[in-house]
Amino acid sequence: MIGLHHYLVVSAILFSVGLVGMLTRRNILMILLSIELILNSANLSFVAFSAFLGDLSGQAVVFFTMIVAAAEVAVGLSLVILLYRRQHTTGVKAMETLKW
Amino acid sequence: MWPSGVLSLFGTEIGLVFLSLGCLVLDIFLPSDKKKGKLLASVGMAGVAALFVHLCCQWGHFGSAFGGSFSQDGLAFFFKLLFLLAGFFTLFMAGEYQHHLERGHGEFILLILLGLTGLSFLASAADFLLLFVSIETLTISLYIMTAYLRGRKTSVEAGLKYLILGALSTALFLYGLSFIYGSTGSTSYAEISRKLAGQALPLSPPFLFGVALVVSSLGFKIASVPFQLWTPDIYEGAPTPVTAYLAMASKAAGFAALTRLMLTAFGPAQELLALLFAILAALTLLYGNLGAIPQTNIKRLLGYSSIGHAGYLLVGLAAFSHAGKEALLFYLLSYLFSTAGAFLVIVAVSSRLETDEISGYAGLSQKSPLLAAGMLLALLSLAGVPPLGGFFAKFYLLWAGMRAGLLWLVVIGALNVITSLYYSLKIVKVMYLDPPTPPSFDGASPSSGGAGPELTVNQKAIQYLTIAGILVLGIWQGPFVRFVEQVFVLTVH
Repeated sequence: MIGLHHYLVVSAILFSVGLVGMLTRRNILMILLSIELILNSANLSFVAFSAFLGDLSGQAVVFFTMIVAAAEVAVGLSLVILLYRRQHTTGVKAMETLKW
Repeated sequence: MWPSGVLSLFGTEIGLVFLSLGCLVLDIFLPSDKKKGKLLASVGMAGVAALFVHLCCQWGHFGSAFGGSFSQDGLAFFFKLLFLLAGFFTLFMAGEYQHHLERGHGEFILLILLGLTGLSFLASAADFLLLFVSIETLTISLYIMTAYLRGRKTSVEAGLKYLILGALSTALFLYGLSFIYGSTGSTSYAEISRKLAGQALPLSPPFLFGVALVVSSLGFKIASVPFQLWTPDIYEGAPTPVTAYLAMASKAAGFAALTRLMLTAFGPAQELLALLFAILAALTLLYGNLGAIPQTNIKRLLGYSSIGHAGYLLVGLAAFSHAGKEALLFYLLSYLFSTAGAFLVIVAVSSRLETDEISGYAGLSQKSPLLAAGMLLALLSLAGVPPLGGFFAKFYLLWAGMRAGLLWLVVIGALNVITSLYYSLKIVKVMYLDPPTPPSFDGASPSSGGAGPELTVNQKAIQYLTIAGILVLGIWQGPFVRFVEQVFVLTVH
């Protein structure tokens, strides 16, 4: 029987993978992908809790999350394109003009 | 409730949405140049001023809507006034800044107004979902605005850094929120505090985990240690009006959310959080003020200084039940006027000098006495020198900390006044004592013996407005103190 805990463990694993990826990857696209992983781990745990509690509002939150994540990625990718046009790379090394 | 008065609860939000749409339509029909940007900025300023007056008339007309997720009360009223003021100053700076932009003159104004809409909803948010959506409305506009100077490497870089860290903080917020939802079964503040009031006291670990993640995400907004690393970079790289917007509005937004959360959903965890905030306040104060000392770029310096101010404001959260919350609001108000004053000068100077280096301010007192005086008062108020607003705000805040028994924190706060005075006076010395650098750029009229940025009437008026704000908040605080006390009386707990 698959219970709430299984979903939460998967979500925690996704969260950790995303966080580690975000901190160790040297490419901006991979960092954006890692952030998506974290967002989706939150979505998964929302849906799991929602089903467990028998309450629909958690699933409503997920729709909002997906919309906001899409908007964020749209801005993020266009900024990556801007950076690529200037520097011809998408590595984080391109972001060293300002002292990090 | 619906038929009669409920629409008027949203007066500010409805007004801002229509203002944004109006600007969008004007943006389509007018030819794109600097003039259009200036025109739209004036339209925006007029609209925001009208909404400010309208909101002032709505004092006492409070209530909640949408099943309690939107609540118009004292706290929402205060923060809406604050955000409208911040928006007004930012729109003015954006109008003055138009000639730095290559394209999208109108959209810049539109983005400020959209951000303001998000801020206004955030002030009233009494549900995590509305809080999340309104924060994102603000932040996504800010990402775009930060990277607005597409020709400048630093601006694009700052925008991307802000986006990556901002998206991470969003993700942390949501993951934490999912645990708060899981342990209480609701996202509404009122519902959560009702559920927690019924439970036995050691709070459940999942709830505390969620609270920790949500607080860290908001800690990113207010630039508190350990989430402060982005601040100097983004403050330096962003266009100056956007930096001002970040300092005046985005920081206040984080505190607006935290104040309401402490009053409602996080109320049961208040003692635990107070300890956390006290430790963070000490670290943030030290990081911000010590980091500011070696800076040579004025925007970067104000970035570090804004971290320091986040530290002072956190003292207010640490002393939350002992007048700390009133002091917090007063501090935000005084910080708004001081920051606005400083950034107005930076915009005016950068429009002639094309530099934000402090050395460029040499001899400003001879070139333009008003700008130098505005900067002087703003910096001294930020540092906390007696007759000015910043002094009383700091005094009020540290006094609240003292009453909460946080003597060690008060000592650190008081010592940091000296540090911040040191780096402020360094700028004052450059402005007043150093000889003006020989004007190497065009437009310097040789007859006047120095290139003073000539100020328009509007610039002077706004500069005087901030000076008046700084002085009034310092000398005649009584009504404002009573106002912030009244705010909490009229706030739903």
